[in-house]
Amino acid sequence: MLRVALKGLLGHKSRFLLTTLAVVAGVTFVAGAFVLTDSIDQAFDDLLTTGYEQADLYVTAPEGFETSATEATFAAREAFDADVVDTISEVEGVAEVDGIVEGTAAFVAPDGDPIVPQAPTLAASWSDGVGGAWVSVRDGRPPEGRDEVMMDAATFQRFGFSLGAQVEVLVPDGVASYTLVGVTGFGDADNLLGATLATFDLSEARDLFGAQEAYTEVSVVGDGSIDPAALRDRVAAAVGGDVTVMTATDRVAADQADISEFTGLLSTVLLVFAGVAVFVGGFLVVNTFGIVVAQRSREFALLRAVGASRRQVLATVLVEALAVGLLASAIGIATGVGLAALLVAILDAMGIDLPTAGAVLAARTVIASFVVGTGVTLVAALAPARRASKVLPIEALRGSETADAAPLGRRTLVGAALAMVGGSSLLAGLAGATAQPIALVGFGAALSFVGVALLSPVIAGPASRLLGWLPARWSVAGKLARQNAGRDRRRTASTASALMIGLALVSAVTILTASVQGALSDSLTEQFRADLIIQADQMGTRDLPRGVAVQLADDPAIAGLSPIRFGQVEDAAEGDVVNVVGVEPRTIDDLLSMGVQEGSLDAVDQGALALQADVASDRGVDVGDDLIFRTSDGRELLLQVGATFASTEMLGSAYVVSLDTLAEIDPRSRGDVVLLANAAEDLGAARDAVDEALTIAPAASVSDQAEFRQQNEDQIGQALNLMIALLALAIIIALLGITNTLALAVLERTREIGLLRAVGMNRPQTRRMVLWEAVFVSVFGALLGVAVGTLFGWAIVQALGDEGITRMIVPVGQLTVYVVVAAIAGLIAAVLPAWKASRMNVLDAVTVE
Amino acid sequence: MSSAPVDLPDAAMTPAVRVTSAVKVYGEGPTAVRALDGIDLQVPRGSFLAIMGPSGSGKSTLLHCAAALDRLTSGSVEIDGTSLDGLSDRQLTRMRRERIGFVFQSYNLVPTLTAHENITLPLDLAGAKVDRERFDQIVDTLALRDRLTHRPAEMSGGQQQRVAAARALITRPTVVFADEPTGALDSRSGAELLGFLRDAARTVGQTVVMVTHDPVSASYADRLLFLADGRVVDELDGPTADAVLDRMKRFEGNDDAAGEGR
Ligand SMILES: Nc1ncnc2c1ncn2[C@@H]1O[C@H](COP(=O)(O)OP(=O)(O)O)[C@@H](O)[C@H]1O
Ligand SMILES: [Mg+2]
Repeated sequence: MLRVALKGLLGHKSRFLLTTLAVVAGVTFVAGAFVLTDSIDQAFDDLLTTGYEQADLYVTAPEGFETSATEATFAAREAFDADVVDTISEVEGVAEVDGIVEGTAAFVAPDGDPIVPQAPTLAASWSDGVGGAWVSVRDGRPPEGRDEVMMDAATFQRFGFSLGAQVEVLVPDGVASYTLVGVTGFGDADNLLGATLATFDLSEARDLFGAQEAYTEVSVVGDGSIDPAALRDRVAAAVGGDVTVMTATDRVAADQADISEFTGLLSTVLLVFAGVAVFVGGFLVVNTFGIVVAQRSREFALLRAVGASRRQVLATVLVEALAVGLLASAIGIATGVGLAALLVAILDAMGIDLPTAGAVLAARTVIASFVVGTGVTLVAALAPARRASKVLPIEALRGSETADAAPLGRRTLVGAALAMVGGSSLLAGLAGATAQPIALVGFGAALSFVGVALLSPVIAGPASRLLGWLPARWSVAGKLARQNAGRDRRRTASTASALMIGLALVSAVTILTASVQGALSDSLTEQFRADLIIQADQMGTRDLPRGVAVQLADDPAIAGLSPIRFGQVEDAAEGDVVNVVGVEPRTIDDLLSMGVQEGSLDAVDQGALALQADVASDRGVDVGDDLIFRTSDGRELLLQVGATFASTEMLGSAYVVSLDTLAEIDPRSRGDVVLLANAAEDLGAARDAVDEALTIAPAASVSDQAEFRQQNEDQIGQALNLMIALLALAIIIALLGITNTLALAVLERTREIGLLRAVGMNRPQTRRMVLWEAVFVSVFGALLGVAVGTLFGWAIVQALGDEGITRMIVPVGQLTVYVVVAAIAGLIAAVLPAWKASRMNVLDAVTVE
Repeated sequence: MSSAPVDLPDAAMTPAVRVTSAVKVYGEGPTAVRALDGIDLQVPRGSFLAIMGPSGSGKSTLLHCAAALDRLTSGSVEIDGTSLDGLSDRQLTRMRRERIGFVFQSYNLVPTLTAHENITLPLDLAGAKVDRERFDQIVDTLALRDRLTHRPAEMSGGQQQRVAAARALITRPTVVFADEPTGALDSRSGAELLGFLRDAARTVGQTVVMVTHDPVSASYADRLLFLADGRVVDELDGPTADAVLDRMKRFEGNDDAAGEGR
């Protein structure tokens, strides 16, 4: 029986080619996601280990609240008193103690633009002791005076700097000029995950980052008499609780955990899209095996007639599926490694130089790829295999036209049930009914897709009749195509369903994006009153130089000004960390309408808290009540609620205080992230004033209302484009499915096509017949997808009602474009089968047995 | 009929089909098969020609080449005075559409189309209008009126072959080729179909060329050719079933003279 199976496979090699390809594509993404993130993890592990292994202990200021991992990793730590160095050097067992100061600073490129990559711009003081051992001087020499600086090798090479030249550097207070004296590297890497690094002399760094007689990090080397953990305890006892002491191993582990959080997110995103691709690939498998089984039903009947059991026939088909799955998985792992390399190259081109440790192919990756690739293929082949096993021996004697007569009753019922269960899981997940809402949403969506796919044959007939109505009146090719599309409803439906999935997801995302855009636009219209908004940078990771706000506050062209700052504090009652926004209470309402309901912003100016009204009522507090907070350095403090306000969308937090209060409750609070300003009279003059103030902050940007609105829309649009690009894989696989189904159908209809050619169909007509069929299938799938996607979109928007997305916006134009694009893509997918059909030898066709 | 590739001045005098020194070789080298080995043949307008011969004698090959479904290795075929030599696929398609009709042994109809649609298919493909009167006449003659909305799967074999015949005739082709058209039919249905083809030849001057292995079928024709090893070995005018059987006995060497086709 095994021989029969493998012969069957080899005999129909070309039929399984595209199926294998579809599974390969899915496995590629699965393997690629793992290989990429494992490689990054491994490389960082190496990098961190070499970076930290020089010292045994690291002393830093205690960490603030652990909220955002990436921010925590790169944000400069607080400075602490330099005296600890003396204290530590007296501890028994300590051989060397050395401290550095870290901060942020960005270089200005030779063309005058600031160098602000999609990553932090780091700065540190140089030390030739153990504190500076994490960087190596690749070229030149370390800075020896306050006017000298070193630059990371990646920036140095990319922008063509030269040693000895003057470089401008954006420092917290503005722009300063330094002589470039050296180039730094980090082990093999030229930079740290795309971050730039400026290395200053210690006294300069202390000045720049406000760390007089202080360090942000101290490295300790033991004399080897005791192990690092014991030394840590000794040092910790000596320095007291104001600083944190960690062993190098713990430090590596802590940093590694931060990086793993980032790579974990990356791999989750990639795996979600891989999952969609694999899922769609499964449809292709169902279809191909279904068609091939139908075409070989005589062969199976013959096997049964000569004594094969049902199980044996079932096994024949499953063995074929197993072979396809194993092959596809093996290829997919290889291409996955390639994909990971490609992604690294893309990241590199974007300026993120990953330290290279080579591709890491973990056993887990290989196992997962095989399980996914083979599992999906086997599961998808199960139904066709069962159908093959049900072929009766007598059918060997009957000439069998592919029959579509079997009623759809049970299938439809199962489909409806699945769609309903899927839909409710989706809704429950969106409503956050479980601990794993995302998983439930995914499960619900997948189930709904299967349900709709099972239901779709019922509508495939009428749909192809409807879609084909005009083309059928128009030409015979159109008429025949229409009949062909309606001929095997299951086949048409499952081919279309594969496309449905991709389009449903794209449509749902499109509707979600449009609705978010709409909500944002609404809140901009209602709340945004400032004439100008000044943003430190697009990513929001750097602050504005302190001088900007100071200068603008005194400028007569500016009427009202409020910085926006962020800080964090722990809500003592609820135990969770909340974001607090600091504003200028006297001007904020003219810049950003807060919609004060009770109390007044004057109270906030006096040190009270403004609380968003819904949050206030949820917590049952009124104006005049006190709330207890705990700061990151462990102090408890009491804030009185001075006002309640309506809107949070623009501010991004329900807790608003004055700038002074923010500085008090969160000493680590960041500087000005955004400045809002109103023009005194002339907008042009105000803008000139801002431009002037921003000469010390070339990375910052200023926008008026219209520009800001556009920026937001562009950002959301970009996110949408990224999603569509990732979902394109699923759509391409679905298109492969169309190619595959039509190629098999053309093969199956050899005689019919020959007959048509014999009675006068010419080649262009033959081609058109196949092309039209593809258009019907793809448009049917696309319409189904848009319909399902609209339902999904509705469900998501409904669930986001609390987040301020109040109405669903269906961008009909854009969805129509998707359907048209799907039709064109379907045409392209059918080019090859159409060409094959038209090239078919008339005589072969007529004389085929 | 619109512009023919070549318009001969005296169309009435040209035979419907003229085959000259037809040679067809399949394959190359030592394994090559000479399926047609120099055949000359003329089918006058309005005549009904039958072709017989043992299995493998080249009947189907001859029919396919004459009907613009296949190309000769050498020699020429003219339909209506137009040589098929060197015609492009497009031109051959047009010949098939306008001047040639077919009835195959089986699988004559497009399964997704109704009888009506199958009959008018060549016209639809050509984008030509259906001549209502001719359609009605053919449909009534073949007794297909109440089957027009049926699909092939819903019709008997005899009905299907009659639909095929109707389709072959609807375009008023120069010649209708039929390859064992009754091969899959019971004798009564076969007789009906053959009678119809004969009547078409006699009453409206429809030229018909038919391959058969059945002496009774051959007796419907005006003339009968015997093929063996790719050559015409004998012919018979106004054949009767007995005369055919008689003649067949002469080809003792080919044991399965009346063999079961292919
Ligand atoms: N496509 C082909 N390739 C090779 N040989 C062929 C092909 N078609 C027919 N033949 C050979 O040509 C000869 C004539 O075949 P055919 O015309 O089908 O005979 P008939 O119809 O009289 O039985 C036979 O020997 C047959 O094997
Ligand atoms: Mg034959």
